[in-house]
Amino acid sequence: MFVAKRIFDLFALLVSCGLIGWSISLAVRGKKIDIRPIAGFEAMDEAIGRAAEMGKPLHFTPGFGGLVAATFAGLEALGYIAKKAAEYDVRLIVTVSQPETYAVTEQVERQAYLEAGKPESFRPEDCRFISPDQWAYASGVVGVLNREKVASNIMIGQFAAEALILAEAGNTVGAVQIAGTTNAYQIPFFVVACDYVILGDEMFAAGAHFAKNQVHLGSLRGEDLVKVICIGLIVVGAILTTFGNKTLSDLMAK
Amino acid sequence: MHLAKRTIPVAIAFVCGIIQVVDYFFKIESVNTWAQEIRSWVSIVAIFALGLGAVNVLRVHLKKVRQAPSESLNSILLLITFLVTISIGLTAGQSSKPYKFIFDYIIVPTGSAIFSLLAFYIGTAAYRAFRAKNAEAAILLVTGCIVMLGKVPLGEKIIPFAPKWTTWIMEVLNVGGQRGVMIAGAIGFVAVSLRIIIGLERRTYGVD
Repeated sequence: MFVAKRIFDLFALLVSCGLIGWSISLAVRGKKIDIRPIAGFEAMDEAIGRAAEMGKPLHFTPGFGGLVAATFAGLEALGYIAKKAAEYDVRLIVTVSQPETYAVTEQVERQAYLEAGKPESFRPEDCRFISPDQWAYASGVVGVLNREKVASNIMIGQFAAEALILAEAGNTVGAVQIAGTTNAYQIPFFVVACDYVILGDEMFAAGAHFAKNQVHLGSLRGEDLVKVICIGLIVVGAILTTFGNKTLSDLMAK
Repeated sequence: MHLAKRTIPVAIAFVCGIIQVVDYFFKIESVNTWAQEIRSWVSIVAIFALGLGAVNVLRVHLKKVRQAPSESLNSILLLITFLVTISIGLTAGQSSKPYKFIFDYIIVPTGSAIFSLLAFYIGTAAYRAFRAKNAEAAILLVTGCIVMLGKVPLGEKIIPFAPKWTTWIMEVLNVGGQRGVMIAGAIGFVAVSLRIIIGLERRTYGVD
């Protein structure tokens, strides 16, 4: 009945979901949860303010990924950015790579303008579907950054090899850049080319940081509990393996 | 309105999500078949979304051409190639010679050209990154130099221990750091997926 070598994975998933679900229910029932400030998120207002002062557009892209978790984290940030851009009358240009992401992105942006009380300010032509082809998307975004002379460039989502091309293009036009991705191979590129970097799973704190959403705060606490267990397993596993004991690694291979 | 915008999408997400999870862990023939069927539906839904994207491309560039025809050469070219490619694909098919010509001699070479830019961008980014402005940047500079020397044959002649140190840096320090990011990212993925499946991720459904 079970797929071979996935029993421990199922157990790990159930424990993770249980801890996250329990933390969400605690947060919803009023447990106070504090989160540390994240420089990339703190700098969002600065990036939006810069665009407002310079009278230039603000650019946002959720990356090359389809509707994956990292893209949703990016869209969570977009909700806040679009709302602020609407409040300050900053032109927000959003570029999207995947068609299914485009449909959701436009909806998120439209909703944010509605929440800001300025639905008429939303320009559908500024939410641009570029191309599902990686390099066509990269060249399209570079073109937008150069032609529109953006004041700020925010890239939060799933990025692959095009990450550095986009970041360097933003740097060339002198934009303040905030970037975030969970792709460990692309983080170094963002670190060298951008002003602020949201590292890996910090992205998933967007909802908790901007909206102080209790569900997101609880979820973050749950994620941290799972991380503590992972760290414990890594330490115990390293000690056991060092002394030639394979109990834990054998158990995890089941 | 609430039913159409929230309840039905959440119910669909819940059922589809649970089926995919069960499919991954269990060998149950009916569930495995449904899961495969749902994955096929993802492609079908994406095709509809692609239609929306195509309309967006046309809307953006037609507006540009209307507003400033003399400054819209790129948009005019895009619209022409867009319509030509679609026409050939629909009339002659994707296996036809003209369509293959577009793919092999236009799309692939231009894609490779953009990809090749990466080499130059790595150079400019490295130039900025390798300035020893503070202790962290200095460590990055030294580590980067060792790895660069360790990866080229000439490097071993300059610093004999460079390849050995490079292997250690890449396989211990680098892998350790990357695995940390990956594990934390995976836990975040689980949390977001759980919130979507049980309908707590409101923005996904376009409501707040």
